[in-house]
Amino acid sequence: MDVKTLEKPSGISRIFNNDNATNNGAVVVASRTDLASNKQERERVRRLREANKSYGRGRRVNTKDIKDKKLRRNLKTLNSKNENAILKAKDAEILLENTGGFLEPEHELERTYKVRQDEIVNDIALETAKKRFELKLDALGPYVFDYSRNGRELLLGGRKGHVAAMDWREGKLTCEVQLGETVRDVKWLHNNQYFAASQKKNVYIYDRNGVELHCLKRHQEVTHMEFLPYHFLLGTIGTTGVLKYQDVSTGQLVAEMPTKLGQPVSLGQNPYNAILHVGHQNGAVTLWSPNSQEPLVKLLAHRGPVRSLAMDREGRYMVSTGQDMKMAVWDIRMFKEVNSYFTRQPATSVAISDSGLTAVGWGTQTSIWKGLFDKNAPVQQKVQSPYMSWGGEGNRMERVRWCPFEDVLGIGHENGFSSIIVPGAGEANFDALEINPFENTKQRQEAEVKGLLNKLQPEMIALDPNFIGNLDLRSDKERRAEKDLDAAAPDIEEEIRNRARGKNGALKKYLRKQRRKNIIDEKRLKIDEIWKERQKMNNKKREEQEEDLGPALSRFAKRE
Amino acid sequence: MPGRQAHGRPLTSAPKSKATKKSKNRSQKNALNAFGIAQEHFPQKIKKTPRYRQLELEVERKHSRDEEDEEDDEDDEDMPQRKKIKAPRPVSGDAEHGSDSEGNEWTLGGLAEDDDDSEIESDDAFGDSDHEKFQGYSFGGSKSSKSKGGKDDDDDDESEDDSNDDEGQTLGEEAIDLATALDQWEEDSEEEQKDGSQSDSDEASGSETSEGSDEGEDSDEEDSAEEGDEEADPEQLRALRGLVSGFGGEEDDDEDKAPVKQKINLGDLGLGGIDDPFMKQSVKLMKKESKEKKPGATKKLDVPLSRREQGRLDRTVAYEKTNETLDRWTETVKQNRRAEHLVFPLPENSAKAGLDLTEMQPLTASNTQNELESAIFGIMDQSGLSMEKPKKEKEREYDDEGNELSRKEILNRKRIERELQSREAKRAARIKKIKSKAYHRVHRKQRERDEMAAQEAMAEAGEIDSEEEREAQDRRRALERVGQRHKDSKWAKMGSRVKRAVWDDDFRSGLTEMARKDEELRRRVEGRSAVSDDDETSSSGSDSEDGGDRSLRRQLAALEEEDDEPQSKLMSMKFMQKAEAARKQENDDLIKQIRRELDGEEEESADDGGDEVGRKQYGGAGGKVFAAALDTSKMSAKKPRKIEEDDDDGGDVTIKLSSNGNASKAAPAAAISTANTTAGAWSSGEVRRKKKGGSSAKMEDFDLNANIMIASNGNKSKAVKKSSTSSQQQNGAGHASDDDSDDADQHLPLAIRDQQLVARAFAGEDVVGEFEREKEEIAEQDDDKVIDNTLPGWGSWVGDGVSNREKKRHQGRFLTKVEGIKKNDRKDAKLDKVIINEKRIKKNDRYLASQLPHPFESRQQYERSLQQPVGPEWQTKETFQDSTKPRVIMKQGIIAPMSKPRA
Repeated sequence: MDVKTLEKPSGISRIFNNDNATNNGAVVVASRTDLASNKQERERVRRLREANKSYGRGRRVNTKDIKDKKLRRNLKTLNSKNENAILKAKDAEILLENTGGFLEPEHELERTYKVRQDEIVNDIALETAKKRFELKLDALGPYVFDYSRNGRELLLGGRKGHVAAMDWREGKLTCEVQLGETVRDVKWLHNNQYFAASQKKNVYIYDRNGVELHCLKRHQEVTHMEFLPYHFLLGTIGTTGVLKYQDVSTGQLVAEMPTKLGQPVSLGQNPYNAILHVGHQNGAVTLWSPNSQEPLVKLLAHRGPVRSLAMDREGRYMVSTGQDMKMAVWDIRMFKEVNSYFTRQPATSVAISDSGLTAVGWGTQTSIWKGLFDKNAPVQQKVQSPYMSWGGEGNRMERVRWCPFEDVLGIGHENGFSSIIVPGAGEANFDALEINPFENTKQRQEAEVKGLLNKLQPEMIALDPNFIGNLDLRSDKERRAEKDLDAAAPDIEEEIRNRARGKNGALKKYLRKQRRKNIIDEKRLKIDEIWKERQKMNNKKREEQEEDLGPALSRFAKRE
Repeated sequence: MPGRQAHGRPLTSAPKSKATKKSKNRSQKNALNAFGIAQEHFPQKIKKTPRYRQLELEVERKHSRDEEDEEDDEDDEDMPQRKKIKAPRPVSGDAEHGSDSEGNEWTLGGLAEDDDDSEIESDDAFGDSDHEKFQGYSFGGSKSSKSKGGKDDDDDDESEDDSNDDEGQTLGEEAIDLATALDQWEEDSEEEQKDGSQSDSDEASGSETSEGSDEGEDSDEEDSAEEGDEEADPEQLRALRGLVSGFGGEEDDDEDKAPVKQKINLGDLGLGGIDDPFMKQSVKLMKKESKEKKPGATKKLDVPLSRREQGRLDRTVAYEKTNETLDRWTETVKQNRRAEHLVFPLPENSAKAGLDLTEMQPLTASNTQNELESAIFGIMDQSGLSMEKPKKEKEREYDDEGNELSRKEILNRKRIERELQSREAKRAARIKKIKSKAYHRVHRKQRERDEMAAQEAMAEAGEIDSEEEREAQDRRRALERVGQRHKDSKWAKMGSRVKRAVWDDDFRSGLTEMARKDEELRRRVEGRSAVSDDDETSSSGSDSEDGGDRSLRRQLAALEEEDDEPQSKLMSMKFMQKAEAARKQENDDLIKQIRRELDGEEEESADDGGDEVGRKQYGGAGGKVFAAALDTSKMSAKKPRKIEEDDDDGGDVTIKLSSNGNASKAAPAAAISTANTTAGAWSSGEVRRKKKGGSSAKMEDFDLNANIMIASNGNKSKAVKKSSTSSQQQNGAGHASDDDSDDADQHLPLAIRDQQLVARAFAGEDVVGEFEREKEEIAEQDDDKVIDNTLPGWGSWVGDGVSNREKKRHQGRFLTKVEGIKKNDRKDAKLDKVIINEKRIKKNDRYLASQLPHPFESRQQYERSLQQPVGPEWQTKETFQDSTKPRVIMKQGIIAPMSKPRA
């Protein structure tokens, strides 16, 4: 029959399916898909874990026991959004096209620290080879120096008053001055337009051309300076041992804290949380923020003066060297000493590069250590030999600093300045919106304005920079105890007046807007009072006017 | 049921299935017309997009007006809702089909509809003129509800419209005269009576099925009722009628009419003679029904409700209805409220909403997307037209017994085989590596031995220092000592008093120099050259001899242990075993050989260790002590943290203590105190004196110590050998320590020695102790405090003559406790060398939230919501744009309103 023809295919196809089923086993097919989904799931979890490792921002919130439906849904979406953002960030790594690399020994017996600069220079590209250079400046004493934030410019300060700023890649000198005074430290400010030099008595600020702009008379006999770029704060400490913060955008002295530990030996900043670390004579290192008169943390790193210290980019580790011929690696989140190394002589200067290489200048030599700390290792390994070394030519080291975004280490010593090449030292992928090594004038100007708009307040400095917006955990009792009962009640009218400025009277506008809201509180009552008063005044005024104008014209009296 | 939702689509009905034209030779056609069949089976749902709508516009235009009207009526008139959708009649698997006596075939599906009779529509058959004529008349089986009450007009209009519409189509081939239609009906009815059982139901089915299938205006309800009629035997029919009569409304009319007609017809038609039991029965039934009706009919009508009440009732009902219609929107509203972003105009309204823009791919049986396609593929496959290649039979593997192996098992097998193959090869490679290392080592030893021999020769030839020379050296040393700055000198004392070391680099370097000189001199006494150490600047990279040796041995042991491996089936085969054994033998031989080499070398070195010691040292016992001390210190330096404290308080001192049997892990404070007592820091005269005094007595201890150190480092065979040859013990130990000190030189000799030196240098300043004290003090300050608020003179007497007892009694009367941070709760409680400030930083409070913001239930939730950064610097552009996208996005142009959600 006809219908059979209709039925047949479906029937046969069904049989066909069954056939398949017997071949593969229907269950197997199902389990296979199950496996596949399992595999996908596993892959997803793995990816997430990896992404979390480098971009994670805390644990997700458990949404299961939230009763409020709306909140639960919101938090769920929040969770998934966070997850998504992390994965995206991880995926975006593909856009980081440059990779850093280190010297690798080809066999067991080869040692990377035996590689000499001339060998490296012979083997690298010409343009890179140019970055290795020496400045012979033997007349004006040991040199301190500073790279600008984008690594473009170099500021040299000789002890005997010689200060020079230059674009070191092009070898162009932007300014060179002889100050005729002792120069103890030099520091670029937020960009290459201004720099500060601590001289015999005061700290001075110069512009790019070497013109003196300011004399900071409050900063006396300063030996060390640090600049916090996001807060626009210049931190100085001098022979008196008083740490001072100067806001270079507003010109105000933000904080002034005596360390009470005598003349300091070293100063360094933690780039992660803008905390200043001061190394003292007695081997202590104190951590300071401009918000407290006492050190946030005090740790005993050495038994002699702490000659130098440096923090890594992520704010996890501190490397300090002391007169006791030790180099200590500290975990400065747990505040535990991770490792300690011997140095042959007291190391005078330490610097940590973006990729975690540590340069240590000691005596006439500089050694560069790799893997002194590794944030991913559960237990830090003790490194047996340095990664590279340089020196031994009779120049006593004064300061070592890494050039940002370059595989270049700058070394200031008593006979001038040397720039050596250290493969793998710099951050390979820079974010041009953050710091641009190749910026032009316009971009620099824009970055400056943007930086000022995004300037962080000094009160935002704390050991944990993510504290902002967190919940205040003080009990009500504590709060009440801390409340100043003698303080004058705030004058609401004044407050309002000061708050909004504009063409129209601020108070008037405020009254107009705020009265519409249905919030009745103390403030509102006050506002109403003012409002009524004003109305009364206006009415009175109008009546007077009406009277003046007479009955016929009274309608033209001005209303307010 | 999933929540219904508004969509951008218009509310047009589902696609009409267009009945395909039938052909006579249907069996042939069916085979070829697979598509048609399949389509009929599975009507494809076509999305109604604006474009599609346009295409259909012409067809639908006339209907749509009515539909809209009716839809409006629906709500107003409170009529049962009728389906406007002309759904194709589903063809069930057991479709009815058969033939009557004339050979007319009929089916219930659309398939068998090719006979012309069934094509006649009663509505179509009526012309306009006919309408007037036949008013009030209705065909027997066909639906006669159209001549009824309030709805009448509507339906008439509709039928008129329909007839007008269809005239062009229907009056072509399929239309027949009304007269013939009537004739046919008469004939049929006559035949019915003859046939009896099949009588009118047959005809009814004939006309009605056609009506039902072609004219979609009929409701489903009717359809089902009529379908039920088709084959119904009278019982069923009766039951149905009863059921139908249960309903009010339209169906009632049918029933009402029937008996009247029956009364007239039976008499008029002259069929009274017929004594068909069924007929009679049905007639009886009808009578009964009419009787039944009577009480209802005779009953008085209720007084109509007052206008107000009626109005109220109407309003309530209307309200309910309105609510119902409004409720349809709930899901839509919910959805829109929850949506993160809304885009207007709605995407469903856009011009290309329904179009599938994906690339066309060839269809295969595996990627069919709907049932239609899969059905087609089924058909094609069945007719041998399938495009896929026949599947390859999977290769199957069998184990030894011929059982089929699962995939997992196969994989396992392969893995095991591979491993077995590679294991011995790997082992051989590793042995080779070790061998080469050992080879180098042996050769180096050889070289050293040669050198030694040369030196001996030189000594014999008198090239190395003689007695006189030594004498001279001693003299020089004494002279140097006389002129040296030392710890007790005026210079040093002055310096330490004003703490010049802290700020004066010159002084500092002087101190270092002094310490170095001092050390150098002491070393000279011990008979070692200071210069060699100073020159040493190589870094601490190379691994030590001992370590290397040990590691070699460990590796060898590990290799030997590897032998006991699980045996697989493959390996249990004889030839495999043989080959394996041969390889293993080779490897083992190699291992043995290396072992022999290592041991032999050990013995040799131990042998020539003896004279070496005798030759080299002139400091006598003291030298050895120092070496041993160094050795231990070096060993301890290797173990990371444990010895740190020792290092801190001057290596020499603590090592001495430990060798004297004191606990090596003295509390730091104690160690410091000893350091303080013993140390005038630099000179360490007492230490040396101590050393001199005790050295000879403690000699044995030290050496044993050293030995144990070495032995415990894993070189067991060596230790055993040493103990057996006890006569050589002294020498061996000496050698070992010598060796080690050499090692130390290689590593960081200067650093370590300087370390001790430095420790001594800074021993004067008790920084650790001071730090501890400070920490203690701060902890004390922050701790809970009890404040005595008692004021003298309040509630007690003051002044002269008040006894002390009285005073004391009043002292602690008003105490308040100020809560602080307990010592154990401090963050730095478990951290040594760290003081963490526990005071709250008030300036930071400005950036804290004073209260938990509203929707959040806990701190974690709130703080989590702040975790994700907002700025573009910290996230990818995509994430950033997502997070800043506005909630409602309106594009320019006309925004069509959301269309009504479908019920």
